Amino acid sequence: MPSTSRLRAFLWKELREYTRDVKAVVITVVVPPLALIAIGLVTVLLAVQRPLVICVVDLDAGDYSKTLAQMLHSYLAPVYVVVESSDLTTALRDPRVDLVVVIPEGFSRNATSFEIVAFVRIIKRAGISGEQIDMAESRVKSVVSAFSAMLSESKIAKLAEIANITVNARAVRDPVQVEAPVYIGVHGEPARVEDVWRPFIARILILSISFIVTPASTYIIDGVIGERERKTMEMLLASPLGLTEFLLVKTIAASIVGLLAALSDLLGLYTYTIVLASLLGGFILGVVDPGLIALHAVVSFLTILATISISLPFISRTKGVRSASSVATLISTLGVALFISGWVVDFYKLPRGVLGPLLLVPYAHSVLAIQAYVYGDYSLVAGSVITLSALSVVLIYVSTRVLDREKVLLAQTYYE
Amino acid sequence: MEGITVYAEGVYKEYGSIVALGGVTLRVARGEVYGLVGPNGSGKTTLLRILAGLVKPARGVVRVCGRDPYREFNEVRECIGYLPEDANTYSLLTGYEHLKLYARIYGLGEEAIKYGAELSRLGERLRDLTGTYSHGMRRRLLLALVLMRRPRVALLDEPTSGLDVYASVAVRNTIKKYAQETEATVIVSSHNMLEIEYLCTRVGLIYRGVIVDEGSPRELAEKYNASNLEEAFVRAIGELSAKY
Repeated sequence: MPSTSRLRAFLWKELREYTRDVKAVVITVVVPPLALIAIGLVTVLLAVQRPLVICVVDLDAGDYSKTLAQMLHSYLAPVYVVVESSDLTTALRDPRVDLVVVIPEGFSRNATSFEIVAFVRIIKRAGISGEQIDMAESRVKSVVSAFSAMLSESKIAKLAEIANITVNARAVRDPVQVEAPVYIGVHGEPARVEDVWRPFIARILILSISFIVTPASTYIIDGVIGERERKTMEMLLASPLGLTEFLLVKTIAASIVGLLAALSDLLGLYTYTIVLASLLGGFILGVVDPGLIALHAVVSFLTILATISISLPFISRTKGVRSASSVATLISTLGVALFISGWVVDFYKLPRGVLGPLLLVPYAHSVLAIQAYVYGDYSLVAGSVITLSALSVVLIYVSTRVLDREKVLLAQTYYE
Repeated sequence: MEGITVYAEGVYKEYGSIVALGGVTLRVARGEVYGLVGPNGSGKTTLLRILAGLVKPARGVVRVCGRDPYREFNEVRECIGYLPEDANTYSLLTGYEHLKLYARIYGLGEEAIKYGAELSRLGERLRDLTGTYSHGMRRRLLLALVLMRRPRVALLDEPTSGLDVYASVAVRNTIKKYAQETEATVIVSSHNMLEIEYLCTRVGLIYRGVIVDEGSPRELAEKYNASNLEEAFVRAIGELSAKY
């Protein structure tokens, strides 16, 4: 039976050692909040550093083609580098140009005709980031569509004048339209804008758990393998502390470190949200509801515990830091893979046949708990949290049962 | 068995195809300082680990303080103090914090900490992080951690390994003083014959996992017609090497 005074004494030693390792503390506290902000900043900065180049080639040089070219320039220039050319071959051969908008000869004539449709051609260079070039294409199409609407309105007005009738240009051009969608909540009530944003915030929370799995694994590797390699373990194992208490304290200490990382992770999330709020409007701050944050803290702690409990039996029996790190990386990768899929896939909506086997992995419960909260399915939230806790406790119990002093001590295979 | 605190009978231990112990038999009485001498890889560390209850013997009977050290580990570790050969300290804790930590683990009070501080002979340096200590200072602190609780059986694996002359003398004196004051059973493994002669009342020569000869340093020297224990050891092991 573990003694609380021995557990307290050893935990005191663990935390004292940890807090004296200033670099380790700084990395645990600073890295998670910076990671989220850095991801956003790096993405934006890189996109700014290498903006997409759009070349508008006006082969028509008529009044209407010039107006379109001007519109393209004024709408696209704030986001992209827009250049103009009158020679298509030069534009196509210029490797800096990513997307070419060709206004063909006869465009102005066709655009004003009542019989012929005028076309604009888009040429995309292969090898450019798909999402980036597709977005540019979509923006070009929007400008062309606005130009087309403008022309059609003047054409309809001209026809109405000939026919001597009153016409609403929109009713002729787009007689049937879809109204702006209305959002509803889980129970059919009208959703507020915060409700629309909540799944997005939940996804960020799920993704952010990936940042805390690694510090916990690193700590437990150092805690077990480090003790053995620094030659401090054998004397402890021979003392009344014993293996169960040793592993229990290592687990608690790693959980505390992981929780510290989780708290700073949360701080990063708030910073990220505030940055987002300043860009999108203050309403987003209302999205971060305290229940979701509290659940995130609980899930983070249990995820750390699950990581440690899965790693422990393997780590304790590996020969050194290198092989222990490989094992921990494998386990962390499994976690990160699930958290990334939680960013894009709605586990809550997965068919039972698919979700069932997935739930054998403790991390799936971490994702499910947060997603179920967004859907207001609180019994599933409780179920996932309880399962995650139970799995962690069972795995830790198994770890302390399958390991014995000799296995932990002699994993390094040093005999004399 | 009366008066015998450490008892081993036909103890075997294999690690895969390697035979670490090939039938060790040993009896050490209360108050005795027993020296375990043998070449590298002869099984000294494995034997001490088995006596400390850290490693399970494959066969044979082991009793320390009247109990099986592996099966009754919780009871036996209350009576033993074990210093591993290559043990180390926590570099980010002070010497005093080490004494405090082990005192709490053993359930001891301030008096034990004072005794440990006295045994370590580190004085004011106990307030410094052990990462700043020399090898000799760390070894003295570790020995103090083992002996501060006055164990009935002290198992010391090469306590002066890697130490300079002054540090070795300090460690040896501490062991000698402790053995005299407490009448504890002390088993010391060492390569240093001078140390063994100085400390031990009885010596066991271990070779290839078997104790091949036993006696007081003087008895062994006489038996092998040698002027000291070192010569006796070389002759004894030399004869065996020639056989195998």
